[in-house]
Amino acid sequence: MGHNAAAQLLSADSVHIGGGVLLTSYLVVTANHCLRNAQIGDSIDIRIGGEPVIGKLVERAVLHDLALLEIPRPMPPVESAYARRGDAWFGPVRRNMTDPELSGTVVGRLEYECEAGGSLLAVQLVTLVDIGQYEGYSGGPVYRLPEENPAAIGVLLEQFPDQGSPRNTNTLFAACISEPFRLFRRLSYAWLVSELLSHNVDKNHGQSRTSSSNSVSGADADDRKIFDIAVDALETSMLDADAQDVIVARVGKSAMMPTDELR
Amino acid sequence: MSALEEEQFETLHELLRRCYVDCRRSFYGEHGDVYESSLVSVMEALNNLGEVQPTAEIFSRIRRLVTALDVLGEGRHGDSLVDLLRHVRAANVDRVDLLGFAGVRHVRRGNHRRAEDMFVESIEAARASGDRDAIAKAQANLIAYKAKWSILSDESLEEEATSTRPEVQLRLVAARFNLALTRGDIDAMNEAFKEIAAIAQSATTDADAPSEQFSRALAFSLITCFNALTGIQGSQYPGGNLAKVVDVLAQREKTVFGPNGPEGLRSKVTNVIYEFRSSLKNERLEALAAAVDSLRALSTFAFLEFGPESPESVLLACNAAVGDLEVARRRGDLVQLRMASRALEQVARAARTRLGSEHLIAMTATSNAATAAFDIARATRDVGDLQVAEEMLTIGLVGKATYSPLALILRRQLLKCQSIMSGDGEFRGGAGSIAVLAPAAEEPGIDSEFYDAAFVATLIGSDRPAVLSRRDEIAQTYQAIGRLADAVALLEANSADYERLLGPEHPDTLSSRNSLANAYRDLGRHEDAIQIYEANLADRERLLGPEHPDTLSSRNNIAVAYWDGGRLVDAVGLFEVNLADCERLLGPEHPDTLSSRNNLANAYWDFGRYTDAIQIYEANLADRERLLGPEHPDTLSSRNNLAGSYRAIGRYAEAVRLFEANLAMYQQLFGPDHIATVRSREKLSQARSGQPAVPDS
Repeated sequence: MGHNAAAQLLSADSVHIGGGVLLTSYLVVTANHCLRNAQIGDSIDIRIGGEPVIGKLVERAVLHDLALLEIPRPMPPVESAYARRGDAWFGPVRRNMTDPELSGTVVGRLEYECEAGGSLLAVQLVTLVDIGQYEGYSGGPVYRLPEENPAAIGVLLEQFPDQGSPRNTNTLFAACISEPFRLFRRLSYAWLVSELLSHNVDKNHGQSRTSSSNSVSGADADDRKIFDIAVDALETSMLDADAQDVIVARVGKSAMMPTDELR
Repeated sequence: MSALEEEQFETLHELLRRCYVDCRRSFYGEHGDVYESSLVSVMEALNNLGEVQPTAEIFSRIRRLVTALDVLGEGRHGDSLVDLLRHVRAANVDRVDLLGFAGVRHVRRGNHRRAEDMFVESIEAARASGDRDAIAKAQANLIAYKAKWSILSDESLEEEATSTRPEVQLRLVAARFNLALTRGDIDAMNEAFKEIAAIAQSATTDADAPSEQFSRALAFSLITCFNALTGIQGSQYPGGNLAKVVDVLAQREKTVFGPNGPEGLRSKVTNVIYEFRSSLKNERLEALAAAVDSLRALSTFAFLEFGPESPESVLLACNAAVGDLEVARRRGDLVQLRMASRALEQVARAARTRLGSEHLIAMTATSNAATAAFDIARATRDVGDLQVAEEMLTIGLVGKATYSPLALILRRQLLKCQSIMSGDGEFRGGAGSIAVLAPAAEEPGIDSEFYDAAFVATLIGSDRPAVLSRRDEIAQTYQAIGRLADAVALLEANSADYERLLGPEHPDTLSSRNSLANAYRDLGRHEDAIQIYEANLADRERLLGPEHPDTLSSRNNIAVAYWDGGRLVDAVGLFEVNLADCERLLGPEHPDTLSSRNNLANAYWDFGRYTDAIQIYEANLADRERLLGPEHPDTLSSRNNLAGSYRAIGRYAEAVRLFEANLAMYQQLFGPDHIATVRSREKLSQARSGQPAVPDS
């Protein structure tokens, strides 16, 4: 199932430009540099679990080299997990199925300075397949084994160091799978609340209306660590309006009228 | 503050800070369990405080540390820290916060009994402090807790529980919502929901952006309140894109808190139940089956994580059982339906044992189980099924007082059930019913409340959708006992109110119009009926799609109405289309398909296409004998139809054989004097004497 959330991004002439992962039912996250030639609002051909869909580029986190695409109909999103040191991993998305699949071990998690300048929580990986040049793998999901129950731990971003040679060719970095939730406005609680409140507002207007109130979680503005965010949220999560989920009384109304025997 | 104390606090501060940082390092997986030794120092320092009373700042740091341990997945260390805190001296206001925090944490960790103690103590501490915000918060916590786990609550908010802070306001309104929920007061729930939306609105338009935590609380409040409202009144979310928000929220919680911790699980519960709800309405069977699978998977997980007695586990198990039942109902599979009903009954019993029989979850599960048993009994009229239904309904009526709309339905069902058992009448409704309907309302022992004009009048005055559906039920009963004009009056009012309250395109509005048309048809007002049916079919094709079961049912209804009104050509054409759709979409053996086939045969017959009709009757009888059994009312009807056709074309010997078989069964089922038996006997003797067909009405 987890494999089905892996995405392949294609250019207008159907050339592979990178990988992606279905983070929620409607949103694909990828490496921003895969889409360096695209504009916000552009349509991108995507293949998810082999199925073609058209994604729309909706948000970038430029400093953190991540981008978010929206797809028009929901598909089952990825199961995620935290990476632990020593986990075995694999990355199924690649340019051609004949290219080698990446796999290896997790070295650990660390606060990592991206080439683009931002700092994020990253997973450091070593690969067993040393192919020197990892173009075409960017943006794809990093899954933790076991294969029958894979969970995504990150989004492949870059190899180390990417500037100048000689390269340390078997060390890769992936953004931790929880990072997009910290970095993208569209995934913030404030955005969700304004979505809940928008009364059938035309989406484009809705965006401009709500964006002003969202500076707190604006991309790249907030470099608080995900751990602190989790602690904050949990500590203050009082019971608030957690109304219970009452069992539904069966709703089956008398839809089918008596069609029986009239003779 | 003495110099000694100051020094002590400074040390404690530093220890707490270091321990938190160590937690973070451990979380990033770089340094193993590095926090453990600094945690030991913190505990020692707290133990050594003696009579010294720490500052609010220190308490807040401790709370933060406990939460950090939880995020780390080391809740047991958090537990020890919280236990330790209870022996530390604290000012009342600090104690309120501390106990509230501990309670919420216990809930999160599935430790409900201890949670309630904490909340109660917290209220005592708040009253002792006299701080209004503190009282408001503490009370809101207890109420929210009870409501979340559906514990019927006698609590109420104190008059002075008010606040100017939006965070506290939200909590208070949420508490009011929850109180209304346990009391079944839908108006008050809607009112509170609106207030929460208003708080959220002003927070998002405020110059200062709301904090992340407050936004999170707002998002969850809006969704959970709305979920509860959907469950009760089937409303649709008034604002933006709910499904997308729920989706992002669930993935966010799961990913940020880790997928298997209590917090991740909790958001999964909300999400899965939301999906289940949506799939119950207007969706295909596969979607429903998938939602039920998720429910069951999560139910197992909750069982392991929180234990069998936690409300989470019970709630999920109940919903999964209800889901199975709905799947069986839509498939029309009687065997599966019986099994699902038994399973639901067991789950309901477990819910009563584990949560108490007054618990809302247990009550709802019990009444669902009772209704399911009743539905089956009504369809089969099997004595065993009827007894099970009667027993379940009786259990369901215990403790009804606090949830009267539910009790009303159960009471009516119990009444019907007993009425069928005594052989007085069959409540199938509509003109197609094969049996004579006893004037049930005049029978002794009938629940007069149900037919009481004054009672009905109070319902008519109300604007609650939940009340409207009660009126539907009453109208159906009127129809069943032959008070057709009363039924029409009620349904006319109802359909207008549905339109006004829910809008002209709401599925419930369409259903109510359909019920009205059915009643017109029963009264012989064919043109009025056809007019509504036609509009309804167009609406459903547009809103639900041409293949939705409700759309099929609408098409069938029009065809029946055409046929009633003598428009045979139109009727035959439509019946043919509908049968083809039923066969394709529901399968050739679905009960609705069999009914549809029978309807087509009836129309063929009246059209003079005797051979076609007889061919279908023969196939239908064989199918029903095989699928429903030889004594099922539908099978009896089918046999009757075929026998009547044989007699009409002069095949008397075959007619006699079938009428004999039917008569034996009527005698056994209803006794020798029942009207159905008497009629059957008449038919048999007509066939024996070789009399040609006399069309029954």
